[in-house]
Amino acid sequence: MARTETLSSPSVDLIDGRPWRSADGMLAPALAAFCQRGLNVCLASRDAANDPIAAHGLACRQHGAALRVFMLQRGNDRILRAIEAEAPVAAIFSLPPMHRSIQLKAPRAKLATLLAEDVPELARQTAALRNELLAVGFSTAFASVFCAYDRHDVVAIIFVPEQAFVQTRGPIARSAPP
Amino acid sequence: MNHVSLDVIRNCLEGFVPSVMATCDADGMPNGSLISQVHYVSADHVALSCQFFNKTRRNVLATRRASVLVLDPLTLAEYRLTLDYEATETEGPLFEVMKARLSGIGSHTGMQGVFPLLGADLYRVRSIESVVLPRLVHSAPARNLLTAIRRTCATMAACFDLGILLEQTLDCLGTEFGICHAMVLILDADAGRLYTVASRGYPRSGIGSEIALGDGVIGVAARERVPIRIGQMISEDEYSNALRVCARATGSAWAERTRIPYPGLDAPQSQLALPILYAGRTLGVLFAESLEPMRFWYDDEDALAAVAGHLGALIAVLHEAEDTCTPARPSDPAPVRAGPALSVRYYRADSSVFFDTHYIIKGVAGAILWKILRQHHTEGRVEFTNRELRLDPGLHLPDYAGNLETRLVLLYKRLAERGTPVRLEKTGRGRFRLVVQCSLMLDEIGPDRGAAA
Repeated sequence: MARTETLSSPSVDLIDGRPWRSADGMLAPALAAFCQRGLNVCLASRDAANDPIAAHGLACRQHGAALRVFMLQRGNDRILRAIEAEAPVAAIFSLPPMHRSIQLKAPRAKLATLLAEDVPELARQTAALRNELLAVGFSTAFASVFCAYDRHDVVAIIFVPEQAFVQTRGPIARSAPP
Repeated sequence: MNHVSLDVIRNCLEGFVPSVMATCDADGMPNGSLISQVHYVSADHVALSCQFFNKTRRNVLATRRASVLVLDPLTLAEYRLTLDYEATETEGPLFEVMKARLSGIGSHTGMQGVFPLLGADLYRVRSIESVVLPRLVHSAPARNLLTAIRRTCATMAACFDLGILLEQTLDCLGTEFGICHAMVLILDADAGRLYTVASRGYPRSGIGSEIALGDGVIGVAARERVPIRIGQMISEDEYSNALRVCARATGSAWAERTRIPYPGLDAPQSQLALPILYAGRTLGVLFAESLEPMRFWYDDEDALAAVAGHLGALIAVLHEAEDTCTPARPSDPAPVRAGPALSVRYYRADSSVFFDTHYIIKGVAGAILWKILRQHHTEGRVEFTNRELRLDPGLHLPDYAGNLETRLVLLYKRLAERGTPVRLEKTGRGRFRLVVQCSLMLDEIGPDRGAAA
């Protein structure tokens, strides 16, 4: 696996010194572009007993003030049940190999099926992530399979972010953007 | 709920791909993070690296629960571990193993030295869910490790001599495990150092070279009595550097004169050091390294740990066997060459022996060499037994009696390697012969070695 050339720091992260959402409640354009460029997407929620649940996502699409994060149903019954029960959700958007990351949180989310507009965006972002993985040294087989999905198994998790944090690994993780 | 055993998904814990960790705060708000290391501790425990006091850490301390998603880098199978936090260790074997591995993981993500390990967080694994079944078929492994262990142990068990055992063990690492660079080091507990008694695959053997206890993967493995494995090293890495620096930084001109260069690779990518243990005691370290990154996985560590364990038991058995003597094999006396006498100088301060200006050996092995050369010079003796050396209080042998045999192996090899006109030949169990092919001029110096040097 290849090494990255330099570490990212908050000063080069897109949110530095800028509001993370606009007056209309939508994600700031730079942040929205970052989240939709084709990243490693991870999700966290919790069940009724407050047991946390981690999961992988595939991609996301901004839809008004809401984000539609796509994930596979298979293997993710527990987190999908938790979201169906209106559990809070956190989503991490990370540029491989994980140096630039942002975390968005919402107190509740809901499940939905894919919209027609979601399908090309899902394909574009997973293809972009595959290219990122290849660029940092993962094998073609690994990158291709990691980004593969069965479209009929994909659902959308919809939430309006209420908090955003720099998640770039290191002591500064979790600093709130202005 | 444990559908999968942690023992069979250890490839997911190699640190190839960061794992996803979810925690909750006391109010139930989830938090996600990417973590470098999920370390296998036992069939029902893992340890996570604690590198910052961040939100994840605060959540774990508040709720003691976590969910971690891990990925098999070969098959891309994915598993979700539900964990209960138990304790944090800030020193000891688990901490040292994780610190060493984090160094390797850090180096391949460009983060070496950036994020120090603050603690090893120990978790009980409450359940393991299969999230995604294997998606890639990886090629058949290069070897069957169980077969390799069996053949290696069989070969080792046929050895009747410590020197042969060490050589055969390293030969088997090559033939059975495909490991081209390896060495065996024996611990001198009194001196707090390990010295090389056998090596394979290096331009120079490095027999007699020393590593301080606690330095590099070898020193840490011996001190903590746990295997240390690093899969992605860089030249600036503290662990790989430590071995070279330790062998280099001797601190004085005298020490420099008696230094034998460490033989290891200049730019290893993978290293594995396994303590050789017997009856609660650390005898030494079996060390392997490679130019290839991620050469050693958990299964390789287990396999070589079995070999190291067998080696420890056989070293102990052979030590005991060498205490009894068989009759010496007769041989013709070596002809003494004409010409100038060989100057043999012995420095009492560190028991170092020089032939003319060439450093030969020091420490207990140096004291043994000096004793037998003196007896040869004054009494004409050439036949010696291990037992008489063991009973000689003047040699100050370390408390572990077995140290004598490893010192003799070191001495045999060092003399042979230097091609000196003095050599030792094993003539039977517990016996050896001193072969001197020239006249000697002995000179004992000290204790002020500096003036003599």
